[in-house]
Amino acid sequence: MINNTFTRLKMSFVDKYETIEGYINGVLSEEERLRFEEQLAKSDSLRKEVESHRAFAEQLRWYGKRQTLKEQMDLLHQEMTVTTSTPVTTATKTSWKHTWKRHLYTVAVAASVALVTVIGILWNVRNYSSLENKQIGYYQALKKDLDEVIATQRDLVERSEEAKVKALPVPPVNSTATAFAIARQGYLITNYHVVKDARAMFIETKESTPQRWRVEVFHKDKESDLALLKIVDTTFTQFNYLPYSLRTEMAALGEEVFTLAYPRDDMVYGEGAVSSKTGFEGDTIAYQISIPVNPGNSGSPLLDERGHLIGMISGKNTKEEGAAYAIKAKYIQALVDSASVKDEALRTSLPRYNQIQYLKRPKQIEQLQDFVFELKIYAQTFSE
Amino acid sequence: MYTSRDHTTLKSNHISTKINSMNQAVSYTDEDLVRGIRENDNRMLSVVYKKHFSMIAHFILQNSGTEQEAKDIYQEAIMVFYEKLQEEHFLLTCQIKTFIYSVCRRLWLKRLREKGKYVGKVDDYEAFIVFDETTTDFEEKEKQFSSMAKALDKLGEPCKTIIKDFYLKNLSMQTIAEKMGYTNAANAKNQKYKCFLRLKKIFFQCYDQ
Repeated sequence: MINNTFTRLKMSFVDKYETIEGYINGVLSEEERLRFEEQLAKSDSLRKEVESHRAFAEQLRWYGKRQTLKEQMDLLHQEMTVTTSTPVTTATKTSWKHTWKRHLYTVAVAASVALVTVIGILWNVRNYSSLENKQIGYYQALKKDLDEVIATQRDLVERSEEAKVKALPVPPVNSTATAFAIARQGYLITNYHVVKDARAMFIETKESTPQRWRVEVFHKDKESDLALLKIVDTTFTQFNYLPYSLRTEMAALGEEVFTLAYPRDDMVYGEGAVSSKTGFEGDTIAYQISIPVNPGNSGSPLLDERGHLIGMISGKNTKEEGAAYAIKAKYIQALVDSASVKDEALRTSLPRYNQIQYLKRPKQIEQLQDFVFELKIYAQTFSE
Repeated sequence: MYTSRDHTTLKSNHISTKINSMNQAVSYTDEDLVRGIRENDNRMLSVVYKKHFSMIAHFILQNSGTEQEAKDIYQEAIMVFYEKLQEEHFLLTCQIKTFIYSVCRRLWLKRLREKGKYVGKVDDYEAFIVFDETTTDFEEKEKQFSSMAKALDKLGEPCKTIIKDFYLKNLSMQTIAEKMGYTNAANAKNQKYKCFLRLKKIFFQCYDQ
């Protein structure tokens, strides 16, 4: 009996709650609603109960909406960190495939022609490479330039609609250096001294996805020995978000630094420390750093321990061992600033937030490698 | 006089946003973005979200925070921005960037104070607006949100699922009863009632802590 009453009592609480909820959500029948409103008019405490119920249910729904939004944002956040680690562009890849298919036949002819001409050219190439003041093995140079000849031939074929390749002379690569991205829109930084005699330049990367783009000088500053390059290929869309930010304040003496460069055909990592706050003969534009560098290192980025860009390698002292020079980031900023008159996009080019600062070195390099390129310089133009 | 001045500032804001957004693949003006978010266009929200994180991350990391804290604060600010835009009479009187930075700045200062790390000044990197007391309900909302999250966690199963299914997913009691294996909807209603009362109690406990 008692038990029974208790159940009925409890049921009535549940019923009341259900009615309140039904009333709030507007799902009561006309008759039920009128009866409830009658009760409401009579009882202050019931009115309060309805209000508190309504407020809490609203609070819950609001929480739900926020929760969904939060989940959505977590996904976006993930996306944001993933996109920075994927290779540069896919658009270029497909269009390259397309061109390849279209020109397969002519390229095949060109390749065979190339093989014949190579024998004649090799002799020259040998002379060139001995002229080049580069510390790469003879075999390496030979192979490198042979590849180069074939690649250039292929390029030429693409340019001329008819495959009149035979008559075209093939200019060899005159020098190589390094260049690195400074803005997503296809801007790169390198040394002025490496590009001053250039007639044609290409940047190449073999990390993650092989890419090759034609670049031109966009802006230069002879005084600080800096040049801003721009990719002029129409197939180029844009780089991924740059992982490094520029650190323009002075680096401290003894600070650990590292660089990524192309003194040979593959990327080379070098590390050392800032050994002086001034460069060659007290030159205030540069730091002296103790990283062993070779020709070809010109234009490679100098980063501090956390991956902030603090300078760019420009040269070394031939009389001193282990003394290389790097132009300070401040001057890179100045160059970019003065070039931003020509393209507004440069104003906000580098991220203020460095995404690689907490990563271990190999991971940092993995993020960086897509933004450092081998720069190939031809002093002769292609005759078309 | 006053209105015309307001008008010019708005206009110049507009132009500078255009320039700022040039490094996005497609550029949207603040107006486009605000309209898009008001119309629940998720793409626009994603553009806004991705655009400003680095700014906030930089601010928080430079002011003794971690990356995780930067993410939390930033998401909180984006939610505030989103909710404000859902209010019919809300009018954005500054750039989106400034609004987000200002909310983050305020939330972060509060967090620093709570941690006892506030040193009286922070390094600022952007222009910001100061909110008056009537517009700072977002601090209160942050508290409500985290209290509700805590309360739901403490509530435990099967209550959590029932409450979420009914109030958040708008499932009918019939469906919930079938889903949770109750013999009839009345039993499920009974259970829901108990859960609702308990959640309310826990929520206020969490909130008052």
